[in-house]
Parts: sequence; structure tokens; C-alpha cells
Amino acid sequence: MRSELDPVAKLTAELEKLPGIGARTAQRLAFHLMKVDKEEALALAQAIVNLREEISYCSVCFNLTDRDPCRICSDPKRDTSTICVVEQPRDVWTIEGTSQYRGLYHVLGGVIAPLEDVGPEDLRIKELVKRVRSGVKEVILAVSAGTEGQMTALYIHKLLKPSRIKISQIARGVPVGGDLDMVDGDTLAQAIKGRQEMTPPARE
Amino acid sequence: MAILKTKAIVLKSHKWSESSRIVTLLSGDFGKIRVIAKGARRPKSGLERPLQPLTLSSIIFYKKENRNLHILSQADPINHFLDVKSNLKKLTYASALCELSDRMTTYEQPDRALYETLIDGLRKIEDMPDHQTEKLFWYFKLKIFKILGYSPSFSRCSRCGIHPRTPLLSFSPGLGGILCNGCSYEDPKAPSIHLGTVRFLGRLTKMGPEGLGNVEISELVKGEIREVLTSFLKYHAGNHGRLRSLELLNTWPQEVR
Ligand SMILES: [Zn+2]
Ligand SMILES: [Zn+2]
Repeated sequence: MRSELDPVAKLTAELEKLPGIGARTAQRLAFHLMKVDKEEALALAQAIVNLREEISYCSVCFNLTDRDPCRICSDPKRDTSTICVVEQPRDVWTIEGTSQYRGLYHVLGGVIAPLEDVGPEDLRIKELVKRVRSGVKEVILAVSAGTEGQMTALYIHKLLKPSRIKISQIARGVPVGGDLDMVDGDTLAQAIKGRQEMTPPARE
Repeated sequence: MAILKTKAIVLKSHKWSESSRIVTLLSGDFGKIRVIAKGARRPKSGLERPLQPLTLSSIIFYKKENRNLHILSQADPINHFLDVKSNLKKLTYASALCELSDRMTTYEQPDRALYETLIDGLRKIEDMPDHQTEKLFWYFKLKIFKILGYSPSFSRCSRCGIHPRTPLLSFSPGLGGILCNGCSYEDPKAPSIHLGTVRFLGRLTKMGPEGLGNVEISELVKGEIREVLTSFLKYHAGNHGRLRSLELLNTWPQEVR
């Protein structure tokens, strides 16, 4: 019989909360961690503790960081007049991996999806508008190319237009709907290089 | 398990596990359905484009009995509504129509009229210039209300049935339409509405947005229509009737609205 204090049941319940892990996988992982060397299991536990105690969001760009501002925001060699807007911290990693971009980033934390109850107030859009007011010359929108990404890009464009800076969108080499981390490095590097200035219909 | 084929418009789609999507679609044959599209987020799956919200696609899926999550096997785009997706105003109102159709329906209740009205609405929003978009939205919102069985009355007082002629009336979502001055005490909280606005809505419902041509609508009339349609939806759907898509519009900076 399982009580609430049963360590295996407790760990299984925690693992099950992780994305993509069902009840059976959670149980298998729990038993696996019982079987491996104690050091190995404890190293995993310690890594989780370190992650949560040492990593937080950069107060400028909202990337994940172990110091605030993050290494990119505080690097004097980066071009501070350009901001690349992405959805998730892992998109920063992906773009950094191409070594093609030397500007700064801004992590939104998602895209506008009204039917999923995600509005602009749930994302770091206000913070972006504020940042842009201090000497930024170009904003590159590198959100995913699907309907929601497009809505987010058009919306940000609308908000930033009065500030008269250059606003560009990465080229359509990126497949429609595709997340940045599903795109290979070369394609992404091309997409950043081939970015196009956004010019919505004159009526808008 | 049955293999079924239909045309459907993608209402919403969210990421599921590492590479899949769960997609909600509105079809004429089966009503609103939910499917899981395994591996859809891999670029080579070919499923990203047909499964984007606001895309009309032809789909094949395995229907599981007694479940409301079915398995998608194939999807091919028919219409991407690209002109809608490249204009924020059109995209916002089109998204609001999808949102309305999603929030007001339950799964697997076939409703061909609703499906056809939604497609028609998206097509018209795409084809007509964006200064007409809001008017189109009002028209299709009222049409969807009607299909779902709620039709506010704009010609007769919803309590005594007379055709009111005084310049200022009120609109009671609870009583189902306008109230003449003599009946307005029945719902003291009902927002007021001018006779001109009421007549405009009557003509809009009867003749459709094209029938009205390019009439200029004053800010006062626009404000009253927005309020009336929003309060009517809220009354019937509660918090469900809150259209998040429209809330986007209120956050545009004043100078670019
Ligand atoms: Zn930073
Ligand atoms: Zn009356």
C-alpha cells in the first residue's frame, strides 16, 4: 500500500508533472534513479537545485541568466543599437549558435494567442517599448512565422511605429509555423541576414 | 475507429510534447473537433501550414468513439487567408470571429450554417478594405448570434412590441433587445442607445454590410454598437463571452488606431 510519504510515489508524482512524461514513464524514471549509483542520482538533484537558485531572468532582456544583467546585456562588445525580439530563452541560444548576430535580445515569453487566453499583458511587450526609447535604431522580429507569431509581429510593429526606428522581420526561409529551434543553423543565419523591413498596407 | 475526411477551419492550436500539436477545428460535417497531430512541429511533416489558426484545410482523421480527442492523419491547406494575416486590423477581427465560434460551441455538434457563416465572414474580411472590417465583424457577430439561437430585436420594443420613435432608447440584453421609453423601467441598468444606432443595426442585419455601401459611421454610433454587442454576448455567455482578440484593439496607441 502507498502512503503519501512513500518516497517512490512522491517522486513519481513530481516527475509526472514534467512536460511529455506520462504516469508509466514517471514510474520507470523513479525506479531507474533508485537503481543507479547514489552519486548519479544526487548529481541530478543538485543540478535542479543549482538551476533554480542560480538562474533567473535578466531584468533587461528576460533571457535566463546566472547574473543580472545577463552576459549578453553587459558585454561591451555587443551592438546596443539593435534588439532581436524572440519568443523563448532557447531562441537566444539558437541564434547565438549561428554567430551571425552581435546585437542584444528581448525575450517576450511567448506569442499573442487570444484563443489560448494569452494577451500582450502576459508578455514582455511593455518592457520592449520602454527599452526601444533609449537609443535603439533597429528592432528585428524573430518570432515564429505562424498566425500567432504574425499577429505578435504586426502588433509590436504597430506599437513601435510611432518611435520611427527601423523594424524588420527575419526572412521567410524559416518555414511557416516553425519554431526557431526546429530550424537548422545555416537557414537561420540566412534568415537573419535576409531580414526585411516591415511595411504593412498603407491603410493601416 | 472510423477514418473520416472533411473540410475545417483551424480555430486554435497549441504545442503538445516535443513535436506535436493539439488543434481545434470547426467543420460543417462534425462541428467543433479536437485532434492531436503527432510530429506536426517537425518542419518536414508538412503539417505546420495547414494547421495554423485561421486556415481552411482539408483533413483526414481517425475518430475515436466516446472521446473528444481524435488522431489527425493528414491535412492539406485550401485557403490561408494571407491577406487577413498581413493586416493587424483584419487579423484581429477575424480572430475574434473564430474566438466567438469557439467559445459559443461545444464539441461535435454539427452546425453547417455556423461553419459556412464563419468561412463567409473570413472571406469578406479578406476581400473588403480594412476600413470596412469592423462593420463586417458586427454583421457576422449578429449572424452567428442568430444561428446559435440568440437574436436581439432592433425594430420592436422587446417588451411591448411597438416600433419606438423617440430619439433615445435603451438596450436590455436580458430582455432580448431594445426597450421603448415606456418600458425602460423594466431594466434600469440597460445602456442607452440612440434611435439612429438602432436603425443602423436593423439595416445592417437586413441588407448586409455591402448593402450599406460606404456610409460614414459616427464615433457615437460605433461606441453604442460595441457596447450593445459586447453586453449582449456577456449576458448570454458570461466570462466565456469575453473576446480576448478585441481587447488587443484597446491597447493600440491612440495615434495609430
Ligand atoms: Zn539580458
Ligand atoms: Zn415598450
